[in-house]
Amino acid sequence: MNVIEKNIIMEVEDLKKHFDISKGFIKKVNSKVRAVDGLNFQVYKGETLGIVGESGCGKSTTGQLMLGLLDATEGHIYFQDRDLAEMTQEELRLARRDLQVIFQDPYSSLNPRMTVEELIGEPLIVHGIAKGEELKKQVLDLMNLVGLQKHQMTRFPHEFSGGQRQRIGIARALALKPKVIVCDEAVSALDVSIQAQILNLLKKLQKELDLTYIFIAHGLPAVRHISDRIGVMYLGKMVEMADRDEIFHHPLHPYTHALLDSVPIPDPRLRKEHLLIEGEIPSPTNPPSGCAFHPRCPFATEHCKKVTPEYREILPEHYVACHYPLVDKDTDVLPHSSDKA
Amino acid sequence: MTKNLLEIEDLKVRFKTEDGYISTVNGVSFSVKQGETLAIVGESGSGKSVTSLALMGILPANGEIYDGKVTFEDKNLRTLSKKEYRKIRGNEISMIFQEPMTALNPVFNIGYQLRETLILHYDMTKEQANKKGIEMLETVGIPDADKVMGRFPHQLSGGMRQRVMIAMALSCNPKLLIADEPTTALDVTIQAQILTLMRNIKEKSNTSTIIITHDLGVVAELADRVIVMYAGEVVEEAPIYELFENPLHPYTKGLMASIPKVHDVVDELYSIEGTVPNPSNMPSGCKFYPRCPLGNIECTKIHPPLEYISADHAKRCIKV
Amino acid sequence: MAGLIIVVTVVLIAILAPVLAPHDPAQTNVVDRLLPPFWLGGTMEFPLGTDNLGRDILSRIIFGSRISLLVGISAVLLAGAIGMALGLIAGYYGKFWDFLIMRTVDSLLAIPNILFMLIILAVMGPSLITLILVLGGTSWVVYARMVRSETLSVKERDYVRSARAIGAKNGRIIRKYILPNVISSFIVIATLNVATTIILEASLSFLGLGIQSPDVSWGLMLSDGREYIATSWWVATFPGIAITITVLGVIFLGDWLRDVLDPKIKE
Repeated sequence: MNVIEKNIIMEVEDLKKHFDISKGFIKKVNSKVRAVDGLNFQVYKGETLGIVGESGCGKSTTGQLMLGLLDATEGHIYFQDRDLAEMTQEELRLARRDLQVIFQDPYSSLNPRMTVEELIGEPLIVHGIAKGEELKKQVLDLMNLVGLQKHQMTRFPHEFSGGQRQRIGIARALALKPKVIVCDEAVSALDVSIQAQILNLLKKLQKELDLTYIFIAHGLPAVRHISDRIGVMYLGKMVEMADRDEIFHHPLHPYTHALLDSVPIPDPRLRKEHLLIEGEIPSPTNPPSGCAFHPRCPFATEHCKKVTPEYREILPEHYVACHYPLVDKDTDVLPHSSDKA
Repeated sequence: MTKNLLEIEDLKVRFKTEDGYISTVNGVSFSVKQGETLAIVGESGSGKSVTSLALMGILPANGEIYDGKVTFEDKNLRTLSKKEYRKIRGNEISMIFQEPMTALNPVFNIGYQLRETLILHYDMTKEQANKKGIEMLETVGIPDADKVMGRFPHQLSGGMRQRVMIAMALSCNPKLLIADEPTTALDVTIQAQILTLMRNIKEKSNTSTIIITHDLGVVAELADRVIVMYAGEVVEEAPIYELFENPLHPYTKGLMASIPKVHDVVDELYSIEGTVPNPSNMPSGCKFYPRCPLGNIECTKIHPPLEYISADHAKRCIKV
Repeated sequence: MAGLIIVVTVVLIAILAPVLAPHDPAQTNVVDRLLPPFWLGGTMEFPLGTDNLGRDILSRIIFGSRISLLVGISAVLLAGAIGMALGLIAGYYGKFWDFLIMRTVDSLLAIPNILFMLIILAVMGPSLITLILVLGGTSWVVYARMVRSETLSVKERDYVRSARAIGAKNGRIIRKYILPNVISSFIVIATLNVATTIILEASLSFLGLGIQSPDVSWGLMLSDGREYIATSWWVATFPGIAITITVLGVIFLGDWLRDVLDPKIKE
C-alpha cells in the first residue's frame, strides 16, 4: 500500500525506557539498562510499520510501551493525539480496545486453562460488550474470520498446532475491533508454511478491517513482505526509517546496510560473501559513547566516538542517524533482476 | 566417484509413549560422501532432528531405531556396543546443537570442556590439550582465545558460544560433522558470521557435514546436496542447484513459494494449507496428500516410493 | 489411586466411628487393663488389646481418626487460605506488599516452629480450637512462599500480558489467570501438609499440649503408650501404624493429584 494520505494515528516523541538493575541485599540501583533510549517516529493510519533489529535493540520494549503495558521513563506516546502517559488507569484500560497485540509464542500467550470460546470471548466480557447468545455469536464470527471451525470452540490451547493457536491469538486481538495492532514477533515461532498462512491472514484482515499494524520482528524477509515502511533499531535507538523498497535498495546507515546484507537468500545462484560486521552487539547496560554503532562500523571516525548523531530526515521520508550516511554509494543489497536466471 | 562416508538405509525410529509406539522416522535412506555438505530440510515434525540423533546414537531414552541400516565407513553402527559408539561419537562423528547454552556444561569453564574431549580421545597431556584448545578457538575466530579458555559458558554471547561449540566439535578432526539448526538461535548479523565460518571450514578441511535446518536460506548458502523431509520420510533429494531450479515434489515447491523473499516481493504468499499430520494419525497413501494441490483419489491408495528420475534427483510423488 | 482409596477409607471410618467402634473409647475398665491383642492371648472383645486404663484400643483408634483428620484438614485449610491470599498479593502487587509480607514470613521462619507453638499453646491453654489455630497460623508461611514464587513466574508469562492487553482488571487477572495456574502445585503441597500436620498434632499431643482427655487422637494415644512401650508395646504401636498408613495414603493422593491436575499430562 502506498501511503497517500498520511493521517498520523500514533506518534512517539523522545521515548525512553530505562530498567534499573539492583543487586545485593540492600536494594540500590547499580546500573541501568537503556532498553529504549530516545525514539521519535510516527505511525500512519492504515499502514504497516515494520520495526526490525537484533536482540537487545529494544524493539519489543518499544511495542510494550506503545501498548501502554509498560510505563515510559521519559517522553510521550500519542494515540490519536492523546498522551498515553497522561491517561488514568481506567482511561488506559478503555484505550486498550483500540490498541491490541499479537504475541510471538502462541504456546505461552494463551491461558492454558481457558477454552477457545473463553479466550476469544474474554475481551468482550471484560469490556461489557456482549454476553450470552450474542457473545457466542460474536465469538463464532471471529473464529470464522481467522479460519477456525465451530467445533473447536470448546477445546483448550494445547489441543492445537502452533499456527492454529496463533489464529486464536489473532481472533482475541480482533475481538474489540481495535485500530492499531502491535504484532510482536507474531510469526517468528512458526514453521515456514504456517508463517505464510498467518502473513496472508494478517494482510487480508488489514484490508477488510482497516487496521494499522506495528510489525516487530527480527526476521527480515517477513518484515519486508508485510511492511509499508521499515524502521531499524540498534541499542535502543532508531538508526534508520524509510519506505520498505527504499530501505532495501538504498540503505543509508552502515548498520542497516550490513544487517540487510546478512540475510541468507534462499537461492544458491545468489551465494555471495556477506558484508560482515565484526564483533558482538554491545550490552545496553553500557552502550558505547557517541554513535552506539561506532565500535563495529567500518566507516567510524573519532567524531563518531564522541558525538551522538542526530536522527534526521535526509531524504523525503527517509530518516537516518549517522554522521556519514551512505548517500552516494551503491548500497543496494538486493540482487538486480538481471542476476536471476 | 568419491566413496560414501555414511550410508543410511531404510532407517525407522519410534518412540514409546503411553499410547504405544509412535514412529517418527519412517524409512529414511540417504548417503553422505567424503567432503560433501548435505542439508536435511524440513519443518517441525518432519523427523529431521530425530534422524540425526539416531545416527549419533543419542536418542532419548524412550526412542529406538527399530529397522534399517546405518553404515559409517563400513561399520554397522547399529551393532556397536555403547563403548564402541562413544569412541566414534565426538571423535569421528561430532555434533553442533541449536542452543549452545544447553549443550555446554554450565559448571565447567570452556578450557576444561575443550580439553576433556582431547584428553579422552587422543591421550594428550593437559598442556598439549590446552595448546590445541587455544588453537581451535583461534581457528573459529575467537579473539583472546587464551582468556576465553577460562570463561564459563554464561559469560559468553550466543555467537561466541556457538563458535566454542564448533571448536569443540572440530577439535578431534571428525570425519562427519552434524549441525542441527546451527544458526537458528542467533541474530542475523551473527548468523552471517557463523555461516561464513562454516563455509571457510568446509573449504579448508575435508570434513563431511550434515546440516539440519528449516531455513532454505541457510541451505542455499552452504549445501552441496539437499534432502527434503516431510512426516518422517524423504520426499525429495537433489543437488543444490537442481533442487532450486527444478523442484519436483509439491511440498518442496510449496515450501519454496511460502518463504517471503527480500528480493522478490509478492502481494500474497503461496501457502500450503493445513498442518503437518500427527505421527499417531498418519494419512494412508501419500502423507502429503491432504495438503497437496495435485492430490486426488489415487494418492490415497498408493504410498509413493522414492523414485530416481536421474542419477541424483529423486522424488516421492506419483503426480509429477 | 491407592492413596485415594486409603484416604477415603480413613474418612469413612471417621464419619462412621460410632457405628464401627465396639466400645465407648473413653470407658475405663480397670480389671481389663493392658490386655494384649487377641492373637497374643487377649480376647476378641478387645481385638487390639487395651491400654493402661483398660480402654479398647481399636475403638480409640477409630474415634481418634476424627480428631486427627479434623485437626489435619482444618489446620491446612486455614494455613492454605492465609498463605494463598498473602502469596498472591505479595507476588502480584509486589513492592511494598511484597516487602511487608515476605519479611514477616522470614521472621516467622527464623523462629523454631515447635517452640513457637509450645509458647502459644502454653499461654492460651490447650484446646481443639487453639490447636487448629496454632497449627494453621504457623504453617501458612510455606504456602505464602510457594504461591508468591509461582505467581511471580506466572505473572511474567505472555498470557498474563495478553490479559492486561485486553484491559482486564487486576481482580480478574488474579482470579482467571494467576490462581488457576498456581492452584495445582498448591493442592499438591497442601495434601502433603495434611500429612505433616497430623504428625505435628501427634507430637504436640505427645508433649501434653494437644488434645486433652477424654477426647482422643492418635497423637494422644502415642503419648499415653509411651510409659508402657517396654511391657505393653501395643498401646503405642497401633496408633502409630494408623498414623503411618494415613500419612502414606495422603502422600500418594498428593502425587496422584499432581498428575491429574496438570493439563498437559491430562491430554
